[in-house]
Amino acid sequence: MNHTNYKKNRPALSEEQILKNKDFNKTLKQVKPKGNAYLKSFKYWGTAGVASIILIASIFLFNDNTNIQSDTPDGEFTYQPADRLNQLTSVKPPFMEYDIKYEIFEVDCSKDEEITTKSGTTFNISKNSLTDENGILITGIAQIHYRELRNPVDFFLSGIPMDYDSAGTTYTFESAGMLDIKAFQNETPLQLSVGKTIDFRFNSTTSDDGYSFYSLDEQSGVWSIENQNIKAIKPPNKLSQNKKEISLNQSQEALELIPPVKQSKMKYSLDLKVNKENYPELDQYEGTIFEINESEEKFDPIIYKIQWQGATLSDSKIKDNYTLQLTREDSSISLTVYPVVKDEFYLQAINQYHQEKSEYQALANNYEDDFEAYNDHSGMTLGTEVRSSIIREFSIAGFGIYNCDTPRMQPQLMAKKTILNTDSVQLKFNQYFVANTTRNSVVTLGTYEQDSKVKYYKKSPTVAWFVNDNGMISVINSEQFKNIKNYKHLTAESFSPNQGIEILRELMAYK
Amino acid sequence: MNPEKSEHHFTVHQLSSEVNDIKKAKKDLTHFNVLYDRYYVRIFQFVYQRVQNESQAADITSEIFIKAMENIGSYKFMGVPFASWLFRIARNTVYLEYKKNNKLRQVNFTSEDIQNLTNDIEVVTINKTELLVDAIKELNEKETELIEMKYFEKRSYFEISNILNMTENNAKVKTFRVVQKLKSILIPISK
Repeated sequence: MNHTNYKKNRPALSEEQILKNKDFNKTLKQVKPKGNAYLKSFKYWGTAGVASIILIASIFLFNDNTNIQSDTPDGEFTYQPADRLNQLTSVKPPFMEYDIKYEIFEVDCSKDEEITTKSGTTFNISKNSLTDENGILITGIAQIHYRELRNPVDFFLSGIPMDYDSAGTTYTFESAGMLDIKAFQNETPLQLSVGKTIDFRFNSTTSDDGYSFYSLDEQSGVWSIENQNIKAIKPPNKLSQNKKEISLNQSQEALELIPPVKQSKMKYSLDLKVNKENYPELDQYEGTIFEINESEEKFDPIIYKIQWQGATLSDSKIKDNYTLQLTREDSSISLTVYPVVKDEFYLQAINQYHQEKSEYQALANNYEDDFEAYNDHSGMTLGTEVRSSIIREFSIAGFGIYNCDTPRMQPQLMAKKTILNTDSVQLKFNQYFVANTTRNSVVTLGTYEQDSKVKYYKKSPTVAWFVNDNGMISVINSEQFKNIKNYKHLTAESFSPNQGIEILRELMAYK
Repeated sequence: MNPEKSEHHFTVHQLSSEVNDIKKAKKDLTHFNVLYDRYYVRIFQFVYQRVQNESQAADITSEIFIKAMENIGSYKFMGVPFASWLFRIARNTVYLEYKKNNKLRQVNFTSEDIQNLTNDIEVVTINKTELLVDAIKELNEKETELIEMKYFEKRSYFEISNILNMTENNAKVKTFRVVQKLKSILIPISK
């Protein structure tokens, strides 16, 4: 076992020796009263109030306390380590309101839970694996807060430090995807029980090799390596190009491997008999029914009382949705519906999905070597989601921030340039950000005084920006760095945070 | 159920008396000294078994009691000694310490401990002590912890089950499996 020292026959301490260390009064003095001050603060009532509203809304809409997913609405409840844990943190988002939002999943602590995030990343929370800060197992419903940070703008907005020190040299991480996962019960942070892990199949941003797995000490901002060289499980290139070649048989194209969606008990559902030959993908899971996509049209429950004479299903323009046409002599109605799996069949369906996905993945890994075997694998289902995603597998033993990274040299070239705003006023700032737009990273640099030197990449397009005194984002575009010798000074154009973020995303469309 | 005797076992009267002590401590933390006095040595020994030196054990023990006092308000009597709750805090605090300060996990044992374990494994080998220690190194953390509690700390299954939050039977079964695993590691070597 790693990190363990086995010691034989160490002299035992006598009770007398142990009691020398005993001092109740000294211990008592170090006891801190529980956080009443925080309870009374405005911020607490702000966050707690909004969180309660979200929870009530979730229960009202879904009435299903297993694995509920909700997005944090704009400008509302956002987990902030500094606020929530009342401790120092190195994670300092430049704009709280534009911090990268968490997806929130509710899990039943007494059950094994599988979670699929928006990005397609999957992970498990096993039963009896969550404890309070004292290591006491908790019961009931817990909230898993999860977010991924996938590009330089996400890194900038999250305020997560990306520097990595090695042998006295500061590098900046280039990321293949970063995640931040926390757990709470009633606003109280939870921990992962000792010995338990969360196993991830993480949807990575690149299939390149050479990325290791790091964890962040959020207080100090120091990254530690957890695992070297987390290999990407790459989709075979030929797969998408040869979709017809790998059809399961002459008449039927390969099916998409769609993760099952659990039925919501409080939503309207329809049990339709579908011609499986026309819609084989709807034959994947036992207990498949349809829910009405109420975001598409205002749904009137009266349709349940009408005796319809005909029902036709056709493809919808919305992915994974279908158009259902209900008709009778005097009227017709069109609804957008999507398949869900009945509660009682969901566990079976999710197990089936994971089994097929891993079978597919195992086969896909050997695809280049054994294309024929792939064709012959009857019954295999293939998914666009799987085809387009690059998976990295790893486990974590605690909640926190983790990154698939490779350290890169920071920009070395420096030019002494005055930076002006568009009104030709000279600027100075305490912190600025530099990105090589061909890399998935962002470098945070210190104070820029008048006429000090600006760092940039020699052979790669560089974009630099900073948050100015008015809370605007000021951007120096790559054109100026490309021809820096031709410029007497650099001009930073200022935008509102909203606009600036959009512009940065365009400038750094990471490829 | 006839649990093995250990200092972890309390009579109903003792449990009831302890509940009163806890109630008093909840109202006024200075009353926690009764519980502190009662458990200090046992908690210290638990920690010392898992860390490298006395001063580290003293610091962590102090931290454990600070946490216990800070959280005594949320403690609920569930029919098992208060010690179980303290040991869980202790276990978690020790693991946090390894993680936070990158400290080595220490497993301490005596020749007698190894002899007892060897007798239960019933595999005859030359250099059995060394081989058994090597076999223990093959175990994962959970398995090591069970062997440590049962054979090196000589805890009853009842006590192990309370500390690890599992049933007594489960503690027995899991420990038995670890012993079997050690046996399976040693048998090929002994042949």
